Amino acid sequence: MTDNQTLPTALAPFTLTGKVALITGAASGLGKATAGLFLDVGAKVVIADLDADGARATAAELAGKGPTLGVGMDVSDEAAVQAGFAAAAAAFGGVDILVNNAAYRGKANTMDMSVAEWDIMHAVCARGSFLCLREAVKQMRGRGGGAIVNVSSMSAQHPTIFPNMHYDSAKAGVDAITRLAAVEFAKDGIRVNSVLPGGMATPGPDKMRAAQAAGGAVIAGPATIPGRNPMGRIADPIEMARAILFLASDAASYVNGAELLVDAGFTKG
Amino acid sequence: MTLERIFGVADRKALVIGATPVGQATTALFNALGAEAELADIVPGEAAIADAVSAFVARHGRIDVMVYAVTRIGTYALPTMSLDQWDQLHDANLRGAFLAMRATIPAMRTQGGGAIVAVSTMGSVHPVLKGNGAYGASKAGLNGLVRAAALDHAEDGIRVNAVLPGAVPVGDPPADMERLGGPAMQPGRADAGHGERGGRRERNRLPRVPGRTLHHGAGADARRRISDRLMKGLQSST
Repeated sequence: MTDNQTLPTALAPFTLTGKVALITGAASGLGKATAGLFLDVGAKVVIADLDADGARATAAELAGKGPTLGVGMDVSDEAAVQAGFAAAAAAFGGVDILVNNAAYRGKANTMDMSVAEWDIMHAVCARGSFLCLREAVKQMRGRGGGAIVNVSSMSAQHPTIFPNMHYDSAKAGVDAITRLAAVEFAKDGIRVNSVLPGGMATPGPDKMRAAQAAGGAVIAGPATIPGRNPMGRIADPIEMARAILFLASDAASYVNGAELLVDAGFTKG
Repeated sequence: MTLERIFGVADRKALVIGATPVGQATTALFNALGAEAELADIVPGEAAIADAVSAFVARHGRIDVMVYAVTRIGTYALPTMSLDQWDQLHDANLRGAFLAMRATIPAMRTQGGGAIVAVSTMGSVHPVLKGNGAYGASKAGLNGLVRAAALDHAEDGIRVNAVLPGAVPVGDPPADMERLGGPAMQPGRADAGHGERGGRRERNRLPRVPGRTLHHGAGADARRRISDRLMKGLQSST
């Protein structure tokens, strides 16, 4: 459980005491790290994942930190998203925070990519962010506001690796959702922001490399150049989770529509 | 404790340059969190900044955080803006930031790292007020300085970033400032209301949702009062 009782008052806005958060793609990697951190600072957390067993297992694993609920949810499926948010409302009364973290990590060469590959990328990253945002807004409007954090990528703004065209396109779409929703729902007291991670040590990149190896593609591009990262190291997921926590918390009460790069300065180098 | 590990600045030695409301609030927040923060209320010239930084390092033995919060505003019509008006904004907003980084970075490099934060403005990337040529250019230059410093000194363990505030008080405007209007002056243009300075209590007295209130909510008198308050705030801000 949280140890917020002993916090200095100045840190109180950085907590999520009593808030209900739904995090997609939370069975592993960045989503799981974010769930653990949110629980540490007082939130109740709905762990949603395409892998329903994984979601339940992670919810059970983290239950010692605070209230959790694991739900299976394909974010690209409207009915599944609605069911997941209904489960969240049934368990905790409704959602105050949404973290759109679920992503598809397949890689395909631009010149021979199938339309199906292009479509599933956009179905998970862009459509999934839209569907979850819409259900979250419905619940947040009834709770006096909320905060939505979309996990984008530095590659939405700057080429990192290729072949990566469908991923970069979908993540740029996520940032467009952030900008528009920030303006559209400000009147509802809902803030919407993006975190744009750089390279991170999670299962996602491993899956990406495996998929690419299976397809015979070769990863190339600026991010593969030795020494290209100014800080010279890959991020731990918790370093992204902390940025997500800031944007989700009241400490960011005037931050709306921001695209926060957490990339070691890669896009400046 | 998790939060202190993430956001805590206990025992950090922090120098905030520029006694703007943001500079004052930053210093107070750092000290409330257990840091040793000092506010340098100086005119940002070469000797004054070098002296402020070296005296700080002499007192505390190190400098973990440097915040450059100096902000000089001023909107002037371009055809009649004097070179002095142009230079004064650049001296305060850009030249001073360079001098502060130049004075700070050697000490941070020697001690193995640190963090530099420059207070820029949303007006550096998005049109906000008419007549903001000198101000916007100086702050856009500041963004460029921040990017360059971040790249140059990442290997020294020094992170350099800018914060781009929206409408927030910056103190009294210069007497010669011209009121020329602009996008930020349009009723309802600010989505989420005016930023807080003195904490939650003060924020709650301000219109939290001016867009909706102005168009759908209160009567004409209330709308005018809220509008006047918002305008007043924006005129004295970025």
